[in-house]
Amino acid sequence: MIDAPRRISNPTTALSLAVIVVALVMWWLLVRPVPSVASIDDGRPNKALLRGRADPAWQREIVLPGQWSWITNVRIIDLDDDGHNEILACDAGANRLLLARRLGEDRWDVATLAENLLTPAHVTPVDLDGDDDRDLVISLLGNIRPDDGVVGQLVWLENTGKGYRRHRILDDVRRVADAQAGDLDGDGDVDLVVAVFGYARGKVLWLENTGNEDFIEHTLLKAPGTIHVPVADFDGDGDLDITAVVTQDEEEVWGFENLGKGDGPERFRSRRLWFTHNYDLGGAGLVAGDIDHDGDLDLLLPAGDNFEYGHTYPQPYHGCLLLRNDGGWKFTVETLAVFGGTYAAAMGDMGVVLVSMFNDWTQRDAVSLVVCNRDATGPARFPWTPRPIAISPTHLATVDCGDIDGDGRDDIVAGSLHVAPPFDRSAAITVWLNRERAGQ
Amino acid sequence: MTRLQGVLVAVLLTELAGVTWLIGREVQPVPPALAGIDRESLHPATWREMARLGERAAEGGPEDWQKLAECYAVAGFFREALASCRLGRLGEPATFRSLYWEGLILDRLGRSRAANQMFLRALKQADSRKQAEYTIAVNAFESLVVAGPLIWHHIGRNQQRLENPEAAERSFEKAGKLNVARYERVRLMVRSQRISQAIKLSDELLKDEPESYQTHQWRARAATVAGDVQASRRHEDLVERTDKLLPTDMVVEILLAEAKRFGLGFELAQAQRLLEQRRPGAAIDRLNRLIEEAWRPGIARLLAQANLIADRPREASRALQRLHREGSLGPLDWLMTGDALLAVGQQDEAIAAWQTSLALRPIGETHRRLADISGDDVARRHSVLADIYDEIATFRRDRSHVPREPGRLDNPEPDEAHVLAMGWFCVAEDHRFRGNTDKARQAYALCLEFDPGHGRALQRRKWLP
Repeated sequence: MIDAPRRISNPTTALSLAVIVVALVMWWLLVRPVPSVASIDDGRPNKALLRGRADPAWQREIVLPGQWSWITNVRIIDLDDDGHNEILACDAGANRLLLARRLGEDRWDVATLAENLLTPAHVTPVDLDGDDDRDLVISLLGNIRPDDGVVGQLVWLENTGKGYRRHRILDDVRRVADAQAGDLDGDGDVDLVVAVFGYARGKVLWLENTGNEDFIEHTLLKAPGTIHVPVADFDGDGDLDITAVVTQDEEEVWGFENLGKGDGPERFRSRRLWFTHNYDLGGAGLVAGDIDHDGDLDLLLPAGDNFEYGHTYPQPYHGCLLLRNDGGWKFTVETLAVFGGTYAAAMGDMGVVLVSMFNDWTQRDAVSLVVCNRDATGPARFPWTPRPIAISPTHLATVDCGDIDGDGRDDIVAGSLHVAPPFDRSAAITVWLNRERAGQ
Repeated sequence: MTRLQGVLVAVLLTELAGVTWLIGREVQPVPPALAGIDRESLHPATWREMARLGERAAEGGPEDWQKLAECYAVAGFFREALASCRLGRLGEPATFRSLYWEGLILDRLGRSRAANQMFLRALKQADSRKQAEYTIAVNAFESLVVAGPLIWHHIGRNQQRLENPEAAERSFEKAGKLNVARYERVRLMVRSQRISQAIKLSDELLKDEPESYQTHQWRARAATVAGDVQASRRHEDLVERTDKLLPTDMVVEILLAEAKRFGLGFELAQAQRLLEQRRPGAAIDRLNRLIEEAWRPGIARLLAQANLIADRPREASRALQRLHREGSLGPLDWLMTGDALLAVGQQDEAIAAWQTSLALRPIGETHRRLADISGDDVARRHSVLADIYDEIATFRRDRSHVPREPGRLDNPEPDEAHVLAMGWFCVAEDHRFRGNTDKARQAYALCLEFDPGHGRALQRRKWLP
């Protein structure tokens, strides 16, 4: 026997309808977008804001602590030829050049090699006077902040065996960011290429060594914001060429082909190899190396410098560009990695290392250092996978790779430029020792 | 009441409680959490201001939210700023100010398309209320700027970030006679090889801004492409002899200017103003309060300066002490240190400080201090060098200035010879600039006598007819 349906009273119907209507209102209130810090990306997360965890396979050691440090350049080099690598560092905060030696597990000796160097930006070890020792050429900004004054210098620290004698190569110039060495005119001595960054006025110079501890200045390019000027044989014809990255007003890469003849600026043919209309790209350097292992020199262009404004934020175009050398001064440009605030790149046996100066440091897990390796299975546009190595210290501006602990594998050193808050994850110079197992 | 009705009433009451909470959340939104912000990284003056504005916003209206958004934005907390901006508009008509600021914030967050949409809404809002005369304080211009053209400049710059040069140029055209927008158009024209247009527009711009060295730089570049060597050299000369920077990143300029309204930025701006009004005592009181709360290099520098102005060298010296340990000291800091030490009678230490200043970067003022305090021959050498540095500095910023010939030095040291060469080079350049060929040739020769490898002197001498 089937029961007859029970009658539902009018109050019950009204209550049921009210429950449904109020539930719908509640659902609408829940699903409609309400502004909050968490939802400001409007459903499109910022890929450049890389977050992660420190990789325990890389052992971190603090070489030099410092809450407000301004380390602008680090290099791993066996400066005293004793078979062990040291770290050379430009300390723009204290206007000095440092040398750090590892004494043992987490023990470091840090000494001042030279002082009264006004905001050093780069150190280049080279035998400039041909006396079979290693001198140092220091590029001095004169001011870390944007400054269009004639405040830069290029200084040569001549190795005397007992110390260093200081010579001024250039001082009537705007901020100097880099100098590289090589025999550009084939006369057997070492010439220099200089990146005069300036601010809204700058240039690229080559300095012809006259042999009398004197250099004749030739202008190759007038453009503000040249950061690095790698010198190498980019066209494989046996002589040294020059490339330069311009990053202020314009964002471009230039090549200067050594013609093997001609005097002064006429010795080089200049070409703009690449440029972008995106003035905000933030080109931060240029590193030469055979990235694709095809026998010629490619270029890495880290991008993420927004130094003109301390409070910056990872932009979608920050990361590292690869300028692949196709021969005949043609380069194909592709994105190697997206990484907010990328400020420097280096190559080691672990891959391409990138550091960030301007990731979103308000996020406690924002990554400051990554290693990128080629991933054959990855999507075609981003064939390199950035792997987080460190989240602290923050504000990393310079990086180098080399064997620091003598185990035959490359380690990493980085320096921090703490120009803006937060200052709670600070250190001046830090190394990461490779403790990965073979095959990892 | 049946059992079913009882259940329905319970569900309904629960739902109503939920709806009340959800509505309450929107009516009384919680300010984006200060909890997520590292307190140690902020000066307490800034922290207090953020907390105060947060409390006011939670209980107040759209204007309070807007002010909170602006405070967050200038301190670099863009995500919190954006949330505050949007919370302030909930249930309220959008204001020009709110839309414009949201555009600025989105711009900094790297969301160029969204920023441009917001800028367009702000423009529409201004037009619809016939308030095209909205003005914005821009630090670099030291004046108010009409918003319309400036917003078209922002839009054009974002188009450039998106690699849309044609759209960017159209936006810059809409910015009319705004100098920075015309400057961007010149750059785009040179890049796309429209050289005669670039020359025409840069000449127009130079009529209005004759001292802008960036414009001279692009004018020189255009002349080089056009094969006009004389014009190229003329404008290259002017790049070095003009002194006006044309700010190009206006979003950053606006944020920097607005930072002076909040927290530590406001306090420092007020102290600076008191110094300009010759009230160093009041400035010192203000700065002492700030530095007692938390030490910052910027406060220490201003405090030392204020103490020197107030003739309190001991206090100035104390303010500089920690800067010596923790800050980055430049030549001007060492100059100030020497002044403070001399004022308290420590002459040897003062000389040492000035010599450190010279070792970092020689400037006329430091040589002048040492000239005043040294014996005859040393004083004379410092005096000659001070004159040369001062002449060079004036030469670089004022093209009407005719630089004086450097004084003589017997048996100059290599560094001194280098400075003499710099002095003669300026004299030579000025003569060449004015068409005094013979005098220029002589001055270049003297420059090269002191520095035979002076590359620019060698090059420019070849330019003489």
